[in-house]
Amino acid sequence: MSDSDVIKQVLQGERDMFRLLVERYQHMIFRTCIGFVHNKEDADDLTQEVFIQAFQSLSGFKGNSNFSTWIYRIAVNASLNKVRRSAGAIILQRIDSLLGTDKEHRLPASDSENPEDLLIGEEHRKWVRSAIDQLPEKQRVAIVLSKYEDLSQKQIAEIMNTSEGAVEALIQRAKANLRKKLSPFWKKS
Amino acid sequence: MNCQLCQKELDAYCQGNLPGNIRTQVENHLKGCESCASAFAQTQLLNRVINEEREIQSNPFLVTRIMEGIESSSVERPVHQPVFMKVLRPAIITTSLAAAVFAGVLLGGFANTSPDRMPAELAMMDDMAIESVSMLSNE
Ligand SMILES: [Zn+2]
Repeated sequence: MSDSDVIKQVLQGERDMFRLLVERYQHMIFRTCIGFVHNKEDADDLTQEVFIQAFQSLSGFKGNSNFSTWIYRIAVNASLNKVRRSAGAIILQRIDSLLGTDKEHRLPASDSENPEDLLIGEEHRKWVRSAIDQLPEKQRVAIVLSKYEDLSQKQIAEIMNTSEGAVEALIQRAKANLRKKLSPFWKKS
Repeated sequence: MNCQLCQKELDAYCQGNLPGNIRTQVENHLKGCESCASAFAQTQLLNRVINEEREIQSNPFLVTRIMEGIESSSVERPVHQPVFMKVLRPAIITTSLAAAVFAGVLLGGFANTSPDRMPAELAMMDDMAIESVSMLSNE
C-alpha cells in the first residue's frame, strides 16, 4: 500500500493505519534525530514527538512532496528546536571555560603511523560530536542528512527547500569546518 | 594528484568506494603529504564516530510507544471534520476558555497567573513551520 493510500485512510478515520507509516519511517527518523542529539534516549523521545506532530498535522500534508521529505522536515525542525533548547546549557559551559573553571580539554593526538589502528576513545567521540554541534545550522542539517542518512544532494535540497548547488556548497563548507575543528586529532611527529 | 583532488576523494576512499586506479593515486599522495594525511585521519575519525551512532538501535517498543502517544495526545484529530463541527468548534473552545478562565480566577485567587502565556512546549510547537525548513537561521 502506498504512503498516499495509507494517509487517505488515516484521514478517513482509520487512525491505526498510521502505524504503517511509523513502521516504515521510524528508523530513518531515529537516525536523523540521533545525528543532532547523539544519544539514544533523546532520539527515541524526538522520534516520538516527530510522529505525533506528523499525525496531528497530517491533514496539512498536501502531497506536493513525498511523505518522506515532509516527515524529514518535521524531524529536522524538531531536532533543531531540541538542540536550541539545550543551547542555553552550552553557553553556560562556554562561560565556564572562558573563566577557566572547567578542566582543559585536549584531544589526545595520535602518533600512530597507521590511522587504521586508531581506537576511538570517549574523548574522541565527544570531540567529534561537539565539532558537528558547533556547525552553523544549515551546514549541520546538510551534513547530518548526508552522513547519517546517506541522502543524495537532490533529496537534501528538497528537504531543505534549496538548490542542489547550495547543498553541495553547504556540505563542502561543513567538511572543511569539521576538519578544522578536528585538526588537533592528528599531529604527526 | 594534487591536495584539492585528494581531499575531495577522501570520503569515498574511507568508505572503500574508489575505483582501483584513483585509490592508488590517493594512497600515493597520502604517503607523501602530511596535510592530506591529517585530513584523512580526521575524515576517518568523523566517519567512525558517525557510523557508531548509526548503529544505535531505537527502543524496540518505539512503535507501540508512538501509537500510544498518538492516542493519548490526539485532541487534534487529523480526520476531516464535518462542517458543523468546524463552525461549532470555535464556540466550544471559547466557552471552555471562558469557563477555564473563570475557574482560574476562582481557584487561583491572587496567584501569579498570566493568561496569555503558553506552556513552553506548546509555544514551541506553535511556531513550528512544518512545511518548510524555513526556521533555519542564516549562517
Ligand atoms: Zn596533499
